[in-house]
Amino acid sequence: MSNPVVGRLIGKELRLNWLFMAGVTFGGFVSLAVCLLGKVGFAAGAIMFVTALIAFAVTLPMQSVAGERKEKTRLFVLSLPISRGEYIWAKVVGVSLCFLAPWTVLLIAALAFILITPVPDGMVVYTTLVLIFALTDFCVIVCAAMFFTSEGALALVIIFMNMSVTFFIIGASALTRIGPDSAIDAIHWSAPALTILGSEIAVVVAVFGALYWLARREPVVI
Amino acid sequence: MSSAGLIVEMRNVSRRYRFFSLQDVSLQLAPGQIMGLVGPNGAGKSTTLRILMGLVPADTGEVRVFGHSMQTEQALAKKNIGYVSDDMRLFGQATLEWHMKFVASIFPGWDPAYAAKLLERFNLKPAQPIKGLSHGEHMKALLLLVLARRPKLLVLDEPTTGLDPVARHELLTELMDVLKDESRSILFSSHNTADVERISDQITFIDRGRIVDCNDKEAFLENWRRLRLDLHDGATLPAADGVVDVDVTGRIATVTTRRYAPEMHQVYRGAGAIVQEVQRMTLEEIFVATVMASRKEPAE
Repeated sequence: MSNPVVGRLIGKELRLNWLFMAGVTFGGFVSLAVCLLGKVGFAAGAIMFVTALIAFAVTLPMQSVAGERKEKTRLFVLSLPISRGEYIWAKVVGVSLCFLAPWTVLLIAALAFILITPVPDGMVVYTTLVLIFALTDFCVIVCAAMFFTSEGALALVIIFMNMSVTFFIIGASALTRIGPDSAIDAIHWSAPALTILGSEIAVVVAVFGALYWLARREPVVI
Repeated sequence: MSSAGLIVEMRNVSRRYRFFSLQDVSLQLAPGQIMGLVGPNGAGKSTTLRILMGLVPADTGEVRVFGHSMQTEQALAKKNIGYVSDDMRLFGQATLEWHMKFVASIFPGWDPAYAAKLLERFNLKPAQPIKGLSHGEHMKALLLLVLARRPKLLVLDEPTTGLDPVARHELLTELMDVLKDESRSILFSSHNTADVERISDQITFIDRGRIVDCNDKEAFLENWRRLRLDLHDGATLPAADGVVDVDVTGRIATVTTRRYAPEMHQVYRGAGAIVQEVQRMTLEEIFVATVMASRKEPAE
């Protein structure tokens, strides 16, 4: 990808989404602050925190990938000296950076929050798994937004992923025995936790593999 | 013309969709040539131009622009192409100034003085967010971003659609100015024949996914005629080369021909018909007659 236009398009992505990124990061920090307000505050803050990231994981690709097609701004971008494959890479890298920047800051902030406050350190494992699930969610939706030109198909993927958040939070909690593990003030990566982590990473790798294939295939993207 | 000097060369391009297919389209554009692609709504103009731009791949056929294959080297070719489509949109949350800087950062040939001149001529405010622009202003902004790059080829897909008469006049006037640079080529699609007639020197008619005719504008205007004939004593008109339509009402026959020659008068006189009037046809009338004649032809 030696075409300098790819870099310009990645920069464009960051420029157009910076306010959104800043808003989500701010929202994440506010949620962590709410977590300091006792037991109820912790529960509310944790829900707000996860909701902010999951909503960001859905909205960013919807706005930046599907929105660009729907609004016909993609036509403008593709009129620039760039191939369709380069466009896909620029879009995937750009939108991923837009997601990863707040996500990384909030992951570090959440883990630091757990380690610094009296919250049991065992929560580090569960929190990491949930936040990586948000990343997986984002990757799947980016891929779907690239593959599907039908809004209905994309909506189905989003509904499925949103439903799976609830199942994941409950399922991961049960599998990692979040109660006993979290009560321990030590970080313990149990076998189920590592399996979940491996599955999440596998999904992310598979999604980027699919996008690589898509970029090589030079599909119709208009 | 040999293909070596061509700016655009589309050969036997086809693309099939579920309810529409573009069939065997071939186009050639030489340096400095201005081609108007005219067709009714849904004729395949936009599809043709999108295939030409490499935005939609052709099922069969080949497209080369500046000698580059649009299948494998479209990024190289697009360095010299300015493409504007009536349904193309800029980023609503950004300003025109941001778009100008963005495009200038990609194209080294960006001419800031010309961009400033166009801003003034189009009465556009650089600090205004794109989402606040009217359709006409949006089209002018798109044209500004393309023209200030000074591309060697302009591909304009229905740029005047939906514009009010004043905005249309401003846009076409600017295009006429661009045409003073004789090295620049333009491919311009529209269903408005008046716009095409104003700026094009070569005209291609397209209908139902097929090219139905292609010629110099002057050749179209010179060759097409509508003849009004008086038929004496139930005279029968002889078949004549180039006649696309004959309409007989009582003693009056109206003949439309794509190959008018003064010799036709003698042929008809010999058959007992007197040519009373020979009318020149407008491009719109020629376009409609061409399309209707092509629709009467049996499908291949």
